[in-house]
Amino acid sequence: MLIKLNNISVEYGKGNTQIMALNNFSLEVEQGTFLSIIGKSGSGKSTLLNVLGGIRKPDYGEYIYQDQLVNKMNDGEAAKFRNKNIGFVVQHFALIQEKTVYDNIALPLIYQKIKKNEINKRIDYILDKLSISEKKYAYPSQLSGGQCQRVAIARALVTKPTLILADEPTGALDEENGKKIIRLLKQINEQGTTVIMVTHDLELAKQGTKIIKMRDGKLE
Amino acid sequence: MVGNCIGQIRRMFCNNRLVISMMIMLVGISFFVTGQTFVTKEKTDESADDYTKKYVDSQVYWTAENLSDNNYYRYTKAENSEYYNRLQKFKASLFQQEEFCYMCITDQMIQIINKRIPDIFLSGYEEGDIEYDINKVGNQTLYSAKAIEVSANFFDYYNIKVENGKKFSDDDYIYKEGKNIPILLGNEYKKYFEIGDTFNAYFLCDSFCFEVIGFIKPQSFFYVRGVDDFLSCERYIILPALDVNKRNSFSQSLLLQQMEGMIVSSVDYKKTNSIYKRLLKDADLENWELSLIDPNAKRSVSTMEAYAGMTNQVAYQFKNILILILAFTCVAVIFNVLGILKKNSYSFGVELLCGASYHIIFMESIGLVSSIIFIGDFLASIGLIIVDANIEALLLLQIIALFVILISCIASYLYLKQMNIEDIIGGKE
Ligand SMILES: Nc1ncnc2c1ncn2[C@@H]1O[C@H](COP(=O)(O)OP(=O)(O)OP(=O)(O)O)[C@@H](O)[C@H]1O
Ligand SMILES: [Mg+2]
Repeated sequence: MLIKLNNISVEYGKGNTQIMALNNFSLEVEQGTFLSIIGKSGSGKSTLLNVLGGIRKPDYGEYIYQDQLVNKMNDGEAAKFRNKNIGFVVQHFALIQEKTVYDNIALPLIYQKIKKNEINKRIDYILDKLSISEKKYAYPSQLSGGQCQRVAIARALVTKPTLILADEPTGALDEENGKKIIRLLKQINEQGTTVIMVTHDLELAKQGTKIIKMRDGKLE
Repeated sequence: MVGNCIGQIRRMFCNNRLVISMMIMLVGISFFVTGQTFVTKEKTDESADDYTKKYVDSQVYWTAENLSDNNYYRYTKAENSEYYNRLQKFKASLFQQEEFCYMCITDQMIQIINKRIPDIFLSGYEEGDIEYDINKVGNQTLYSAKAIEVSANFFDYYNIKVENGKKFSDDDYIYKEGKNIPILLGNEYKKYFEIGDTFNAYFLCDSFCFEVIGFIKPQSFFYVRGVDDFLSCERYIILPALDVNKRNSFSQSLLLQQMEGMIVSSVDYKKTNSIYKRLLKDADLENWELSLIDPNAKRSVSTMEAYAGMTNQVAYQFKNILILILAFTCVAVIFNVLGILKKNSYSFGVELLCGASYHIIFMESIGLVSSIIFIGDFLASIGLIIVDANIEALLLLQIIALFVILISCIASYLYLKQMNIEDIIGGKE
């Protein structure tokens, strides 16, 4: 089992305005799955990805990734965990505007203390694979939305993670580009990487190997 | 990792070029002003202490000479040098006195021959009456210039320093016939005279050659009893109170004039007066009309006391200004730092996604903040060195810089702690 969530709860706010973004939520994900998560707005999908990515510590419950107890990690350990195991693909790409494509993709590798020529090799390989080699030294503002998302995916893949977390990866793209991105994620999954994708589009969700639906911080 | 941290800091620098330049300037200027204010405060503190010690804690008395015609006649009669010698002995004993300190400080104009000087130097200029200060005598035009004649202790007492050239040497206080009389000039004279210049002038009815040996530092003041106020040296010529080795009409007038001076005493008027009387008696001059003016009978040294009080107050105000500037600097720096962090919070979020820890982000912001403050500090320090500030001011500045960095780091830490990077993921339908 790759992921095991036991009775996870995440609370926001205090007192009267308190919201249970995740409410006693449990889930198991096997390696190699392409899991699609659907659900209404505010149902806790993004919160779930935050927990899975080690960004938000759950208030209650247990999160086991392979054999690691993620919910007990401190800030530094969680950062290492993210860096080593997880690639993020988000709706608005999360690229640093002032960095070139190359520097954006290099970022996670730098945190892994990888040598410069190795970084070069890996970036060239991944850019070639996603057919955006000619944009290596462009800035995000010079790219189309689809190209930006490819760069973001390249960055997510460059560390060879075991898990890709994608939150509405097609949300900012037109239909055609969206389809291309989903195809790409599928390919990645077929090569062995586990993918967890949040989407509100049922058609896209069906591309996954498994679909779950969330409601009020719980499985429906 | 360190390399990336530095690269990141450099990137933030480049992205916020304008804001950061302004901040560096702000920090630099605030620090510079702080340093400057500190220097001024130190100086004012010092002079406040000085003034209190000199003008309030110790007593100042003035001596007067009112020789009767009879005594004056005896003194000046050509074949009788006896009284001249007695008076010289008396003068010497005044200077040697241990209970008090005698100082010659006599307002005595000199008449410069055939060399036009601007009106501000003329003796009646401040009173607006220079009509009699320029006189034609035969083919000579005489310009009456303000001058004071002082003994060596005058410079220490009023803390008056020579800025260019040299001070009076012991030898300069001794006059021999044919020798040039050395003079120091007030700062305003710089435009018209140079060190080494000589000119002829009448001094107590005789003509002498005067030689400029230096200039007095600006902001030098001395007290004149006649006007009951502090005067600036700027427009004055300063002459040494000369000892003349030979008796003649000039040296007689000069010596008599030097009997009017100032006594700084650690004991009260009664005691000082009795010492003064004793010295007169020791010199066989007890019948002479030389006396110590009773401060209660005449105008007191109230101006001096008022001045000391004022200086204390100024010193106190400077302290407040210093604190205000510091507070302003801290607030402005923190405000701007938070602004930059906010602007960069998206990048921080992305970095966190890519595997940076809060620790790294925190180091980056501290690096940025410290660089800004250090550069500002560096510029301010150079500025202070250029304006010749003291070591204490420079040290103080470094301490302040560290303090501001500390405060900014705490502010950055608190900001980053509450920063919400979860929103970066939060894809919305
Ligand atoms: N930082 C936060 N502070 C307070 N409340 C939050 C925060 N993040 C999320 N929430 C709340 O938690 C609940 C779940 O939010 P979440 O973003 O996980 O929903 P979502 O399913 O991703 O919705 P959407 O489809 O609109 O993206 C919502 O009610 C939201 O208002
Ligand atoms: Mg969401």
